[in-house]
Amino acid sequence: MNKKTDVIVIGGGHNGLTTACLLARAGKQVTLVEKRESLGGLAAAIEFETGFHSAGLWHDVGNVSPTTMKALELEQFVTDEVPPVHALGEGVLATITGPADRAAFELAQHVAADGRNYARYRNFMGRIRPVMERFLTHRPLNVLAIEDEAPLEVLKSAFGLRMLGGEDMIELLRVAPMPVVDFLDEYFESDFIKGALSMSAVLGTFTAPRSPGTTLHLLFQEALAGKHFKGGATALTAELAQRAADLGVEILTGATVKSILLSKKQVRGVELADGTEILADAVSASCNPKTVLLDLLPIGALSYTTERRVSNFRCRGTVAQMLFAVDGAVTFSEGTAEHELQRVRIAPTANHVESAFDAIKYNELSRDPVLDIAVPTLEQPSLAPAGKSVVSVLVGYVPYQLDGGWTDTARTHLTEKVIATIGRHVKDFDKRLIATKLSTPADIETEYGLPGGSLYHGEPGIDQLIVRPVPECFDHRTPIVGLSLCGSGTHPGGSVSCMAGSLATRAVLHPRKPVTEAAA
Amino acid sequence: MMKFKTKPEHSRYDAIVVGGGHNGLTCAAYLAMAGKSVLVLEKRPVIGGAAVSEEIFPGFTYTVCSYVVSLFRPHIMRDLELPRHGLEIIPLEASFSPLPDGNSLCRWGDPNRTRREIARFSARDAETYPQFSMAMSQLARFTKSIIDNPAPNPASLSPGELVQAFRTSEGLRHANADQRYLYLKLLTMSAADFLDEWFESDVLKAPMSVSGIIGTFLGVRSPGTAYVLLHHYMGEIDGAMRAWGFARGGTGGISEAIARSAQSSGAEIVTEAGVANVIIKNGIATGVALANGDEISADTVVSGLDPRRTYLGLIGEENLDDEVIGQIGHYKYRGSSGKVNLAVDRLPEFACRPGDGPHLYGDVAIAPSVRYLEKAYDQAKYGDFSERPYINMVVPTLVDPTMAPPGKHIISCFVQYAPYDIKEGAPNWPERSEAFGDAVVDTLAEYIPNLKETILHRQVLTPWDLEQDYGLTEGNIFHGELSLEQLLYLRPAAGWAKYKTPVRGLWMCSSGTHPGGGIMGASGEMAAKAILRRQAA
Repeated sequence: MNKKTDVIVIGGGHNGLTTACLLARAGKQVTLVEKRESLGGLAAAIEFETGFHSAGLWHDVGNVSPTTMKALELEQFVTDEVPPVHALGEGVLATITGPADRAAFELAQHVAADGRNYARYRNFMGRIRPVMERFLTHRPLNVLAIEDEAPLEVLKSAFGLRMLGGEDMIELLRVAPMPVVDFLDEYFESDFIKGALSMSAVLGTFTAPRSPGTTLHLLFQEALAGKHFKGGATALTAELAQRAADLGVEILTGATVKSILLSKKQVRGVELADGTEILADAVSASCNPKTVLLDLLPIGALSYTTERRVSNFRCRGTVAQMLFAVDGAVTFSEGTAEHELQRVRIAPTANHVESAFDAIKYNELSRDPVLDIAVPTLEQPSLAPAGKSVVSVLVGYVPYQLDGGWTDTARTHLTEKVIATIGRHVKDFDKRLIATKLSTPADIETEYGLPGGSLYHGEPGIDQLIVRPVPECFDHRTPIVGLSLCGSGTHPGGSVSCMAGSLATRAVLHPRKPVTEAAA
Repeated sequence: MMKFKTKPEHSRYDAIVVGGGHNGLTCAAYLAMAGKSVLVLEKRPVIGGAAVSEEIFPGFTYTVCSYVVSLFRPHIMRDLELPRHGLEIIPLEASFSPLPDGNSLCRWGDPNRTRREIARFSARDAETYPQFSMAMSQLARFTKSIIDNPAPNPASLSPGELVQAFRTSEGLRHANADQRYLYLKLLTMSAADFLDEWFESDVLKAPMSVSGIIGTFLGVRSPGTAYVLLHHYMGEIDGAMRAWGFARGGTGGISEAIARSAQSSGAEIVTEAGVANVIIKNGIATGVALANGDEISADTVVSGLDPRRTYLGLIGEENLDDEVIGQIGHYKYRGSSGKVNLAVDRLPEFACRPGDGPHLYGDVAIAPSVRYLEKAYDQAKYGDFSERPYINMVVPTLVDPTMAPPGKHIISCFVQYAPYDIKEGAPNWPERSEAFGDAVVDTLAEYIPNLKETILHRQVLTPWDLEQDYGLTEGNIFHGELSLEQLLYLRPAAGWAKYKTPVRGLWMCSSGTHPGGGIMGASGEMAAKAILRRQAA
């Protein structure tokens, strides 16, 4: 059975859905094809135990662009009320996100200077915000062929940087390449604050606080913080799916794309696993670029150099997710007080984060993993039966391949370690557990089709942010006419912001010549 | 060994250079050549700073700290006529990597020999190696304009700065898109990841990646270490790219040649004359005060010391505003290396490649795998030296037999990692010094079985010793880390990266300025030229 449509969007995660919606809004007939039974990609709620649902893999809903939200008529869901993230130390608790006044007050209770330091920190983040925002919301600059760029674009970017003022510009250029631990040392005194903040920079990457360049990643996360989508990432993708249906996007779930059909170097459509062919002149794929370009395209469609560059696109996943179904509410202890918190990080010092990373370089389990914890039932009680809770833990760091193999013993060992760590801060945690589910990076790869288990669809190393994923796929295009990329493996990268999906529509609506490949 | 007076002839000079390291001496030579009366004041009884040779054990001259040269700027060699003044650099023949399983890899100047060696481990890598070297050499050419020019200030909109930026970026503008992509990766990736894209054999990747971490507090898997690979492809000796060499007489021989050149132009060099501080009147440097109380005047004072010693020592916090003090406070040192020098009674013999052979006439890297190197780094991160460290070993006496009695030899070992911040603080180092020396000797003995019985004398230099005796703050061999946040226009601080300091008349010419450490002479030369330009204006 063959169908014909204007555009096929592969993948129904937040980026694929965004692209599909915006294209439909621009008048295109869109068919969205999703491999799994439900939409949402990494943000989909998974029933991991009868009655208990996760809120997806992401704990924060990133920095959704106001323009995109407006274009999709979802701005009413965007709020300033961001669930604050807390750093949990030994008997101490502090907020490390949110506006200066509230967090600063709490921090000052522990280390007076850190209250002031937090204000200074937020102040700096606020001042450099325009530059970070520009990078994340505009189409990428072709740094490798800067002479080909419209001079106005280059000047605007340079000017944007210069508009920070000479001092802040130099300061931004100075700190961006630093290891995040050095940057945080210049601002804060408390170890557990620095440990927790450093996780923003490194969780899910193949870097640790002492790695150069991690400050830049922190700046991206922090400079744009301040907005939340009500209900989190699951709500975002649910609304996007609804909007897509409203706009007339044809949505096929449980439909795996087996290959992209080409005629010469031009897209003809896709073939599904069940043999169905869907024909279209444009295909926009939100899966990992490696999947699209190396698995779905026929052999020989791309030059050897392009293929080699794509296979060198680093996608080493380093977090595992642990889901817990818990009886009763989950409260975190601070001295004698108990708090019901939605977002918590346990990382006693930046050195803890660093040494947790050390282990995975040798394919070993971290002795003392650091944890990023979410209790999504606080925002969405329907994720669990009444009176019960769901806890989601992103465990840093966990190797893709384990020396000795991911045996049941190894899985149990890691699970018990995490339970024990949480148990130090949550009373009777182990006694109230109803079910647990562990997804290692290899599990995440299998469950979601994510090479390497990398949540970002490719590590956010600086080279892989400036050119994402490879020069031949600059600006969401590919060397194949009609084929574009719209997932997190393209500019401006991962985390749940919908920016990649939004920027990618240009490649469909205003197609330009595809990138010339190297001769070989 | 050159001898110098310990008291200056005069009480007034055009320029005083504080510190007789190779950059200070280079600066002095250029100023003297331009007709200035120049006095170099060196605290120690020998000149050279960390490019120094000393008879630590009777009959044996150690190249105490640094031990090879490569990036010394060829135009400086010509300008100062260094060969005429005794400089002789003999290229390294080989890069030898012994392995614990009895195998070994040696890379030679001769590409065919190298290919045959690599092919024993990986045929594919043997084919790729020359392509890699070619690609790196091309990128190295683009980088030269960055090293040989002062660093432009990106925030400045002045025409002069923009011209400077244009000149400095000349290399990159000539690169094509593929080369720029490679350059981007080189600047941002880890040495290990970068090499993984080219090579498969760990035995090859390990010694190659290690050049990325020399003098840094990073591991071969840390982002930003691939870039230093390029530094080492930039080496020029007599115009031949990518050549490392021994200086006859050790690296002290380089310093002495520069000193002779400076003297031949009329510069005066005085040793055992430490400087306590710069004399500042109304914000202007008017001379220096020696440790013994004597005062000497000058129109220009140039510091060859590192930024901390210059700003907090020579200038003093009371003469600096808070912003500058903060900036200098951010500049990081964190030494990570030590040195072990051995006097031995016979040529060292490797079990995996016995006997005297050309593989010894180069540098030997104890770097059997990337895992080994990374583990060495991990250990140092938390406050201890690596039990099984990376060692770069050379036998200088094979090239210059006069450095030891006949038949006897010197083994010079550069060792990483040895963090300055050892457990419970740096003053703990003297107690750990012997254990550190033992770790080095034990590691070497795994490859040279009879080593211990051949040792006549052992000198161990920890970061603490390097700081106490050689003026290297926190034992950092480059006068401060060579990380992006303190390079170019940020070295040593934004606004003070063109060899000037906040004190008028006081300049800096050390490795704590652009282009940074290594025995290059570039800082000394560019500081002198900046001074002369200022005075001509």
